[in-house]
Amino acid sequence: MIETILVMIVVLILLVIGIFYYASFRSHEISKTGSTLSSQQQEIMLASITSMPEFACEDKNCIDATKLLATKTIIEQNPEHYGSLFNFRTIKVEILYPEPTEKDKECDIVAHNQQNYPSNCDHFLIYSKSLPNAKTTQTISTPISLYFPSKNEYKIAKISITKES
Amino acid sequence: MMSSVFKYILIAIVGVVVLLFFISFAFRHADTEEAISAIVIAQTIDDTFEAFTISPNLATEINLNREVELNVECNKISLKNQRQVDMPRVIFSPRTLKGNKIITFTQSWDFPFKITNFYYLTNLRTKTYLVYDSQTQEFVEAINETIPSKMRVEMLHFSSLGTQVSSQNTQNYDLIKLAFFSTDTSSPRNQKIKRIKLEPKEQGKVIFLDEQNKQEEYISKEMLIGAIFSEDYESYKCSKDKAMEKLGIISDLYIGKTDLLSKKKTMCTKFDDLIRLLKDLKNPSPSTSTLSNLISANRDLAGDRNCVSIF
Repeated sequence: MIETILVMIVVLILLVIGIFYYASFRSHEISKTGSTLSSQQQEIMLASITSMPEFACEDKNCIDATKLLATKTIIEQNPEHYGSLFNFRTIKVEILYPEPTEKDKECDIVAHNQQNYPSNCDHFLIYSKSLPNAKTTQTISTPISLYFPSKNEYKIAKISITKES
Repeated sequence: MMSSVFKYILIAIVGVVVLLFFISFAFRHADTEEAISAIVIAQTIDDTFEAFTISPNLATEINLNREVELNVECNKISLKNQRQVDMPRVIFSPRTLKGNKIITFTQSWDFPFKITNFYYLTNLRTKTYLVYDSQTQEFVEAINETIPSKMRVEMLHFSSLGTQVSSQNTQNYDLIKLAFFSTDTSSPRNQKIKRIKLEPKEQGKVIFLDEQNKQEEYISKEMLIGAIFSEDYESYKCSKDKAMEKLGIISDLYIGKTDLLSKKKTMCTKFDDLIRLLKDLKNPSPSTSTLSNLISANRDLAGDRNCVSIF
């Protein structure tokens, strides 16, 4: 009788160990699928964001700096629409060349209305929504041509998208 | 003797418990795999649409590698009985698409500047006919030329309707859409057939003939095509409302841009006219004259050396 019970216990323990290892293997696979999908999404968004009407110049080969300022206001006025589009991301455009005279200063409407714009600021923070208790952040970026219609001049910049998950 | 019987009973009970555990594990595992697969498929479709935004005009087939039942509900898609995935896009589609591939066509909606991309979906089990008569043939031909052949849209003269859309021919399809541009809209009726009546012009009204003649406006050719691919009044209205919401947002964006540029280009006096026209664009049904005035005002800005064009 005791032998039977012992055999059953051993078999059950082996089954539990087998299921535990299988579950952890599947869980790893699922999180891998999740992160692959997430990086794919990031790359596709980076490629497509520059052609969105909220960012693109009319000839579509550059990003319009004046639109970036207007877009920031539009995003604040329509948080639901853009929240479902960008989720927990930060979208930023940094001016690289020619180097701005002022560093770490955001290009906002106040900076725009000054005489020395656009050299008085070095980045546009277009969208930012943080995920509380985020475990990972993933940033990808690409160089772009940034157009300033008021001056009819172009600068080299970088657009970056950071995703929290 | 008792001990031996007890042993058999114990083994039987434990055996049944272990078996039940494995059966339940197998079912749960299958459900989880199905849910993961549904999310992967929905995400793949969404990513494909996102990638399409770069193109102003593109038709393609999305291969799903297995038979699925895709439910499209305005801004959400889901696989049968699975969790819905949000899609913040303007999609005109039948409510259910069955099969292992979906056929998609995207067009940039420029009004007069780019507002968004429209996505039109169909599948191999959906057939669309553009029904014309001698007075509307030219307009229907122009619409048909815009739609890629992959989308399974066919022009049909009103006189051939009875023979082409017979009960035998409808058997192969889940949905047959009849878009009437002809004056007469009499046609064979059955549950698979959905009928709409459109006006042969780029701004007009679409009448959903099988839904108590409910009406809704379309304000451009792209939106007219949207009415052709939508299954019913509700799904068309929902997508149209989303498009109009986006038109409002992008108009506000251009108003903001114009306002910012007016602070830099103080010598230019023409920005106010453009802002007024951009505000008109936010009306529920902006007219074609607003569009042409807007294009003309923007051209004026481009031609003036004190100003700068807005779009």
